[in-house]
Order: sequence, then structure tokens, then C-alpha cells
Amino acid sequence: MKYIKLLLPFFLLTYFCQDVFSQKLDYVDGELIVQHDSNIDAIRWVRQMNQSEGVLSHLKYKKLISASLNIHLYSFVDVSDLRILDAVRKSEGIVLAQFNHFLELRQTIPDDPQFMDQWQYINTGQDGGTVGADIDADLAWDIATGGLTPEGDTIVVCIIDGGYQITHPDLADNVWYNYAEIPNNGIDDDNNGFTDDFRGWSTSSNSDAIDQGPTGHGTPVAGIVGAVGNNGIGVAGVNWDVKLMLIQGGSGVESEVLEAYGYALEARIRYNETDGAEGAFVVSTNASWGIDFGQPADAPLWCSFYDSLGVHGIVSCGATINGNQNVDVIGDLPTACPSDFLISVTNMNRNDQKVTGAGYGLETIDLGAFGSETWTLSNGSSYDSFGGTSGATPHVAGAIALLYSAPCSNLIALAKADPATAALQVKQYILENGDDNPSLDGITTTGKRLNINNSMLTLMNNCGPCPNPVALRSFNITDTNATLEWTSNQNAVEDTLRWREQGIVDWNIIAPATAGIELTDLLACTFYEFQVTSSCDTIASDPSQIHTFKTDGCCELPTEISTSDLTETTATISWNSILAAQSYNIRYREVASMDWTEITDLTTTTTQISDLIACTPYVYQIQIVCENDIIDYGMEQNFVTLGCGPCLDLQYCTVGALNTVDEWIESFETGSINNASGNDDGYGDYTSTVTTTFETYGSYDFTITPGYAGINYDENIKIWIDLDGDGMFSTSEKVFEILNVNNTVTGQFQIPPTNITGLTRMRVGMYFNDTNDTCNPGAGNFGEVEDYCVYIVEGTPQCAQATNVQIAAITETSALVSWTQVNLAESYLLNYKEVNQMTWNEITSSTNSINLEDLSECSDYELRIKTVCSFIDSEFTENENFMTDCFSDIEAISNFNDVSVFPSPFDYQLNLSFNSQDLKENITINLLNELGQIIFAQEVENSTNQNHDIQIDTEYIPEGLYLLRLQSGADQKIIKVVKTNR
Amino acid sequence: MTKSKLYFLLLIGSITTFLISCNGTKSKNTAPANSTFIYNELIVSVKTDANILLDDFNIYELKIKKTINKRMGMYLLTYNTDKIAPEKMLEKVRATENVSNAEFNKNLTERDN
Repeated sequence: MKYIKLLLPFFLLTYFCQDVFSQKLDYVDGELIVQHDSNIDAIRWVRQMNQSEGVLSHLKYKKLISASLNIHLYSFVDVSDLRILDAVRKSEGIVLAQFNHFLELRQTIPDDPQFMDQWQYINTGQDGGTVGADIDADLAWDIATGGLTPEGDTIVVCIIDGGYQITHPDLADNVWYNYAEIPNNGIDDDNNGFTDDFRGWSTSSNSDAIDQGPTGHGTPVAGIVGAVGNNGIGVAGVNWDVKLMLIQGGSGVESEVLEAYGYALEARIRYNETDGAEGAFVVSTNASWGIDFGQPADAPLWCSFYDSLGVHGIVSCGATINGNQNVDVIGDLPTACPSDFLISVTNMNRNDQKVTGAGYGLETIDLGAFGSETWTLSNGSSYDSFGGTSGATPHVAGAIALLYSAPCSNLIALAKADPATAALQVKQYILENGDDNPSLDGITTTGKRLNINNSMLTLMNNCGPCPNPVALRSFNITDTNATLEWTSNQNAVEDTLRWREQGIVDWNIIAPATAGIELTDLLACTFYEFQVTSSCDTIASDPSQIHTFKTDGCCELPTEISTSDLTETTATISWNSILAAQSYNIRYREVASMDWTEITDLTTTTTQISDLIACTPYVYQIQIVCENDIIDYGMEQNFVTLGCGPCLDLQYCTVGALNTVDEWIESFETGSINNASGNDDGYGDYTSTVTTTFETYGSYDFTITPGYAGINYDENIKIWIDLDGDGMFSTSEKVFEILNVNNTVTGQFQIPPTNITGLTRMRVGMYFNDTNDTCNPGAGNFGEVEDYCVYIVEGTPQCAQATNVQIAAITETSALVSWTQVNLAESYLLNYKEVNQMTWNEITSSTNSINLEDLSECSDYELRIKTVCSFIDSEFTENENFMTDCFSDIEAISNFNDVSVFPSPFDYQLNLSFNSQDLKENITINLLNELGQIIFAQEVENSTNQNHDIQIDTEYIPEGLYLLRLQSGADQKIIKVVKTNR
Repeated sequence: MTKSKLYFLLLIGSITTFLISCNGTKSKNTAPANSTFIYNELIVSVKTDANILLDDFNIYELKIKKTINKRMGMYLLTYNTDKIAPEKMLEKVRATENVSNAEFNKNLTERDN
């Protein structure tokens, strides 16, 4: 692109120094460029020439090239080019004249030594980039490099960020200063509402301390917009020369951002109101910050601020979320704000691809710009790469400023007469003239990536005292009529419309023509095109772009087909009316069948089909019958009849945005669902892919495994089932919940009695921030939600039986019984008895464990458990058998006398007493746990005192079975003891 | 305490901090759900005099914290969230005739990565 020849419709002053007669005939046929003395009015001059009889009567004014240098472009016909050039040169008041030459496309490259690291300007493939993937800044700089408008206005970009190193040698010269303010005198000298705002404004300190606070973000952002270019050091900004209105502190809190915007707005309003005597010519603002998932509905004042800025001529640029999120769906602030004066920017890399971790939105995000690893300023008077949408957006804010520096006086005149229109026009140049980019196609409003040179060239091509009409449109189109509209420039005196059937050479001319004109007697089903030219006093605009439309009356298939009013047996089908259709035919069938049912000769655009089967997918097509033609059945449309149950019949709430950058549901299993879903970007809809069956009263195990990108954050796991089939999840329908877990969770839930049978919805949620809102997990929350359809069938109305019954800590007189907790159990009934007895002993427990006491030693026992629920109790479990310990079993060779251990079971202290008169050696006392580990040890001397009382502190040992071992030489006694916390 | 002991304690403290930050029990660097909104602060655009609003909502201790933009009648207000639920307060302020619009103040984040 850089190496092709282009026609540059402007004149470079240096060419005046060349001898035109020595050049080849490489100029635009019929055009002259003329520089007049500064006191000559070019329009009047050409009018005078037109009234003469000489060769100069053929001269027509075309456009202004430079107001400050009084250079203009003229056209001529029917006269020798050399004769007219000679005649012009001999006229009074002419400084220079020459033909309008074709020029070789040139690059303008600054002398900054690190410029070639700035691949975003010229991408030669450095560091693996794609050659040519750049914004063509070097070509745009051939036209202008920023700084002043052609009328001498100082162009200002407002940057709102955390702080700036304003002493950076590559930034300092471009910092904006408010010279109407005397620094540090405590007086609001310029009466703009801000005291001592000499260097800009700090919203956090209410001073001009813009160099305070963190400067690591603001400095590179400012550098991208306007690092001083061509100064022999470092890098270049998009603008080599521009003034950067730096506002500090505004990137942290919204109220400060609005205050910052207000500062820029006040400056521009004053500039507009005083014709530049006060304030500043702020043309754009940059916001490299925002709120992920922020909703415009929560920020009406913030969003409307962009309109306020725009009305006064300021285009704002906003960086979107650094996450692969659809902003249309999840929201974002400010880039989802609907203002016409806001450009929302996403991030591109050096290979011209949208960065994966960057937001998008067909309705919200306008275009991409290079941000990833762009080379620019950094703190400490240094240079570094900078990235994210923070880096992309200032390229756009800078591009806007650069356009205002183009040698196009008409844009500046428009900016002063109608700042809002100028702002919209500049925005249009930016958005409409980017490079088409496949990675942005269909996911941004333009599908384009910033190209500053394209924008600059388009601006220059539209620059003249009489710009061509824009915004051509057609509406109220029938088979014979169409209404045409357009917008003319403010200098237009009269418009000329020309239109024709596409493919026909001759135009139909209507002059004068007024926007809103209606064409009649058109042919049906035919393409037409039109364009408009404006006349402004003595000159005419170039023709507008051609707008094409097609009249109605084609025998064609409808494009707007819908299915509504679904029941279990009927469906209503509607479509848009086709003017040429005499009748319509419809055919439909079950998806699983090949047999069509046809309804013919319909003369309306809606019909109901009936006798359908409940919960069945159908397909249908529409056919058009015209007078002389039949259009075959078109695209297949689908619907599913109701009757499948609430899961598919009802519209459940959409789950609000959840961020899965760090965690998501990796897999979920229950029943026949075994879904390794992976990261679903916050919501996985599995209602039509996997399902399982649950019986009421049944208990079901599940496993949910979180997926993590790095740190295993604590998560809150919740499961809801729409048990009443109302399309919502109430608190009582939450069947499982566990908080603060960071690994795989296995659990069980029970299906309580419900009137619903058939398919209903199960919602599985994993949230970083706890929530019980099944629809809106909260802005900024992390995690994921998955929906499933589950069949509910009527089960046996009974509590589940206790399972996994364990009998432990058996002593001579006690045993500890435990079992798995049963969902919905209100209590448990435990029966036990000696095996040879007839009568059961009965104990009720509200928990899932009981310590049986006062048992007989050395006896066989059996027990059984029943679960008690609010509906029907479970059956007893199968009998479980155990045997209490026998004292004789645990006494080995022992000469310990009068051994006593109490209490049993023990709690915080275990007391031991014994007599050692028959022992020969000292005694060792150990308390061992079930693993045989010694957790208490004491040596007792067997001497004068042969009655021993020992207290063992057991407060901090866990519940369970322990062995108390007394040992003296070969003598040993072991006693089982049980610890319980009372 | 000797210098070496002090360094040892600092080392232990650093390790403990690191372990706590790695086990997932601490909050993320990213703002948690409810930190986006600053619920006790309202940004309000008034049609006439902000003081009228203060009088109307005196019972909730509504006060002007900062003038955001005088030209647009935009103010940052605070109030006592113990006296009224934030959503209710926003609803009431928005419904006031003197108010063009209102919203909660919010925290923002920079967008480099």
C-alpha cells in the first residue's frame, strides 16, 4: 500500500521551486494550483477572470488548499494547458502557479532513534510481526505531523489518567500549560472554576500536581498520543507536536473522571465562545480505564457526558475491557455508552489480529487499534512496550488530533461554526477509513482497524469550500416509488440530483432538488442509483457518493419469518408481505420424518398449523407464488412444540456476566450427566445436550470440579432445581450449597416431593463472590453457571435409608455408631439389643452418630437404624452386629493391682489409679491412638509409694478410641478407653 | 532483639504472607463484585439548587462532598447508609423533581495488561 502511486490532491509548497516546463506531463489533466498574493480573494478573482474573454474565462474554482498561504486549486477545459498556465502566471497578484502533479507516495520518518521499534507506525515484521500491519502513520505525516490547525489553533488532546512524568525529555515540550493562570498564587486567575491550574488539573488533590500519584500508566498513554517527534531522541507520538492537557487522578473513581471531563469541556466551551481568546481547542479525550461489565444503565450521567463534550466539538475515546468478552452482552463502561461522540476501541497485535483477551461488540465496539506491545515512553525518562486496550485507545485519540492539523481550512471553519458536526465528521473519517480486518469483522461496528493515512486522505479529498452532500439514504420504497434524502453542506445554495436505473448510461437530472424528494413511476424489482451535487455560490461540489436502492415488487422469498404462540399442538407462522406474491404455500414436518404436510394458496402473511405432537421438533418452509413465477421453498425454519416440561417450555432468566479469566466449571457429574464442559465464558447451556432422571424422594450424588487458570480460589458451589416448574429458582429450590471450597466437590442432594414431572431446569453455579441471585451474580463476579434439563419422575415417598453404618470405639460397655447424613432427615431412630434378646432398645438422635453405653461386656449385639422425615420414614437398615470387649481378652500377664480408669468415656481428663506392690520394676504409662502412636508417656517410680493416682490432660486430643498401656518389666496391662467431647 | 532475629521474623512473615496469598482464601487483586459501586456516594445532576436536595434528604444526612461540574449542576453527595438502603436512596433521589439524573459513584480500573 505504501508503494503504490496515489493521487494526492494537495500541493506541497516545495514544488513551487521547480521549473514546470522541465517536468514530464505527469500532472492531472485540466487542473492548476495557484498561490495568490495574500490580499487577493481567489473566488472574486476567478469570477473576474470568467467575465473576461481571454483564455482565463475557462478557469473554474475547485478548492482551497491552504488559507494561510492563499493557495487554491482550479480546473479548466477546452483550452491548452500551457496557454492557460502562462496566462495565469502573467496575471496580477499571482505568486506562483503550476500543474497539479501526480506524486510518488512518500514517507515522512522522524529522526527519533527508537522509531523503528514503533512497529505500530511502520511494521517491517520486527519481532515476528506482519509486514504492513500498521497505521500508516509515516504516510499521514507526509501531510501533517500535528500541532496547529491550518488557521493557527493549538490542538489539544485531554488525557485523563493516574499521573504523568511531565519532565520526560520526550514529553515535556508537548505538555499543555494554562498560561491564563498564574501558578501557585491561590487565585483562579482565568475564572474557570479551578485555582492554580497552570499545568492542568489533579482531581485528587485539587491542584495542578499532575506529576503526583502513580505515573507508570499515564506517561506511556500520553506518549502514544504525543511524544515529541523528530527531536532526535527516543520515539515519536502519533502527533509529533500537540499539546497534551494532562489531568491526574481521574482513572480511579468515576466522580473524579467526570470532574476531569468537565475541565476539558470548560476549556473548549471557552475557546468556542471567545473565538480562541480563552480556553483551549480540545479536540479529543482519552480514557484508558473503565469498569469491566459496567452497565450504561448504572451510569446515565457518565454516558451523557460524552454527548456534552461532543456538542462542543470533542470526540472521546474509550478503551474497552481486556477480556475476550462481548460487550454488547456483558456491558462495559465507558465503551458500551451509546453516545455518537464516543469511539470505543479494542486491542490489536503486531500480526493485525484482535488480541484474544480484548473485548468486542457488533453494536458497541467501533474499531481496533494497535495496543499490544507498542513501543513508547515509560517512567524514569525511559522507554518500554505498553499494552492492552490502554495502549490501543490513545492511538485513536491522537489520530483525531492529527486530522485537525491537516491543511484543510474548511474543517477548522466547520469546527468553529459547528463544532459538533466537525466532531462527527472527524469521527466518521476515523471509523470509515480504517483497514478492513477479518479478526474484527462481524464483532465490531466497522470491522476495521485504525489507519491514520486513509483517514487523512479522505479528509483531504473532502476538503473544499463546497463539500459534497453526505448521508444519502432511501426509504418508503414501493414497487413504483422511493423517497430520497441527503445532507448538504451549510454553504450549499442549491442541490442537483441525478438518478438512473442501474446499468443504464443516461442520468435523469432534477435541479434544484430538495432532500425528501419522491421518485415515482419506477420499475418494480429494479436497482436504482442516485447521487447529489451541491452548488455553493460560484462553485459546485464534487458529486456525492452513489447510493443504490432496489424497488419492491420482486417475486422473492420473505426475509422476516417468525414462529409464535406455540402450544403443545399448534404453532403460528408469520412472514413479511411480498408485494408480488399472489399466494403463499407452507409445508412442515417433524424433524425425524421426511413426510411433508402442505398448506397451499394462503393469501395472508400469518397462519396457524395444528394437530402437532407435543414436545416435538418441527421444520417448515415457505414458497411464493407470483403471477408469472413460483419461487421454490426457501430456507428451513425450526420450532419445538411445548409439552417438554418447564425446562424447555419456559423462558428462564439469562445469567448475568461472570468472568472466567481465573476459574470456571471444568466438569459436572450426576446421574447420567458426565459433562466435561470446560470454560464456557461464564455460562454453559446444556439443556438440549445432556440430561438425567431424578426420582422424588431419591438422593443423588454429584461431583463438580472447578477449573483454574492459576490460583485455586475459594468458590461457592450451589445447585438449584426448579421443583415447582414456575420458570424461576426460589430459595427453597436450592438443593445443595457449600461455601469456600477450592477443589473438586462431591456431595449429595435429595429430590423432595413435587407436583412437577417431566423436564425441569437444574442450574449449577460456581461463584467467587457469594450470591443467591440465580440471574444476576453481581457485577464483577467470577465463576460460571451451567444449566441442565433433568427429568423428574415420581419416586417412592420415603426417606432414604442411612448408609455406611460404622461401629467403632468398642469397649466392654460402649460402642460408637455413626452413618452418612441423609438429606431431608429430621432425626434417626436406632434400635439395638443383645442378639439373644427379643426386645429392642430404642434411641433417637438428631445427628448421624450415637454412643451406645451401659452395654454388657463380652456380648454379641445387633443394631438397626431408621431415618425419620416429614413425609414417610425409611425402612430400618439391615442389622449390623458387633461384640463388646471382654476384660479377660485384654489382660495379658499382669501384676498391676486395683486398676481403675475413669470416667468412661473421658473428655478433658483421664484419671488412672493402681497399686504396684507386686511389681518389681518402675512403671511406664503410655496413651496410644488407633495408629499406635504414643500421645502421652509418663515414668512412675515403684518405690515407697505403691498406690498411684495419675491425671492425663486429654482436652486437646481428638475423639476416638485410645489404648492406655501400663508396663513394668514383663508385666503389662492394656485398657481401651474412648474420648468424647461432651 | 538482634538484627538476625529481626530478619528471621521478617522472613517468616513474608513466607506466611506468600502462603496465605497462594491458598486461594484471600480476595483477588481484581475488585470483588460489590466494590465497583461506592454505595454511600451519589453523583447527582440537579436542575436548580443542590441545597434543596440536601434539605429534602436531611434525615439521611445527605451532604455535598464535592462539586463535580458547576456548569452542569453535577455534585458528589454522601449520605448515611445506616439510615436508608442505597438502592432506595438512589430511587428516591432520581424521583426528585429537582434532579435530572443520579447514579452511584464507582471505582474504575486501568486497562493495560
